Amino acid sequence: MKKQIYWEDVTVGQEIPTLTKIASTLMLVKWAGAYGDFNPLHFENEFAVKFMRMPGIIVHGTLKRQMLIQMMTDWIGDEGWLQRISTQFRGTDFPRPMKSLAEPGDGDSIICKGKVTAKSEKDGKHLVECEVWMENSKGEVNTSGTATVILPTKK
Amino acid sequence: MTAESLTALIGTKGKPIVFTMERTALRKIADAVGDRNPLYWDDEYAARSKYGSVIAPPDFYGWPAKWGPDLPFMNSSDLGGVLFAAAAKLGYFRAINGGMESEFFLPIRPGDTLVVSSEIIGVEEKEGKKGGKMLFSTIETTVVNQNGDIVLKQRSNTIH
Repeated sequence: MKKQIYWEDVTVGQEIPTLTKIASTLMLVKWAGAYGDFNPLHFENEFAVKFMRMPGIIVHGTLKRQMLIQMMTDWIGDEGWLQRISTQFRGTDFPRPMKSLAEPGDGDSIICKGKVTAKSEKDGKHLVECEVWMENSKGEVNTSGTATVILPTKK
Repeated sequence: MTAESLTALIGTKGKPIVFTMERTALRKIADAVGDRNPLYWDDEYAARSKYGSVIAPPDFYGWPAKWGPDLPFMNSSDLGGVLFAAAAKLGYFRAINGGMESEFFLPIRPGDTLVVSSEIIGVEEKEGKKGGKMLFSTIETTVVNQNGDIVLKQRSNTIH
């Protein structure tokens, strides 16, 4: 079991441990099937270019959001509870092609980041407000949002 | 078809979808994103946790709630199709996920029977930054479990 973080340990301005992900075309196919989003924008290049006027297939917003959710649940541990997350998709991210059966080739990485913006106590719950976002390899932020978590206390 | 007739869609409710959360479905979601959290994978570990069993990763309320024969993609109801059809009549043929907000109230466990209800809560035509008009719509989805408790609420914005 990972070390549990407690509400008392958290300070405003504190950074949430980053989570780095590589979105490959394989991952997009898995996500389409697992989540049930069969928009061809995420697997059919010609459709993405001609119909959606994108440079190519793009990473699902819901998948990027799930990466941010994982960053939060990794941080808050088994005793924490993600109460709310809001994400805005302002720009597109592109998957890496596969270079072998299991290995993605060169391309972008997605780095999930966050920081604590406020702490409060409400109805006996110990809350932490956070800003969350993800950066690509160029440092561009295409997805950002806010999250609220409930953390356990040491008392 | 005018923008006014589009706003009349606000309040339209989708047909609720009932389904059971499957163990494999939640594993597939965790696998797809590459999340090895033992709360999703390890029955023994999860049994010792405060949840007492494996749970679904936050924001996942099941498959095929997101898909059906008449729903080629997106949205847990027929409402997406209603909006796309209405938008197309105004010349909007695209649909991009603009953003999502979820509130999580209770964990979802394998075997839970969930009722997924959706409602169109916003439709608005706005001037785009680069000139030209854009159409924004919001669908709110509420998921209730077999005990009648709300497990999550999700608002999803689409840019047409």
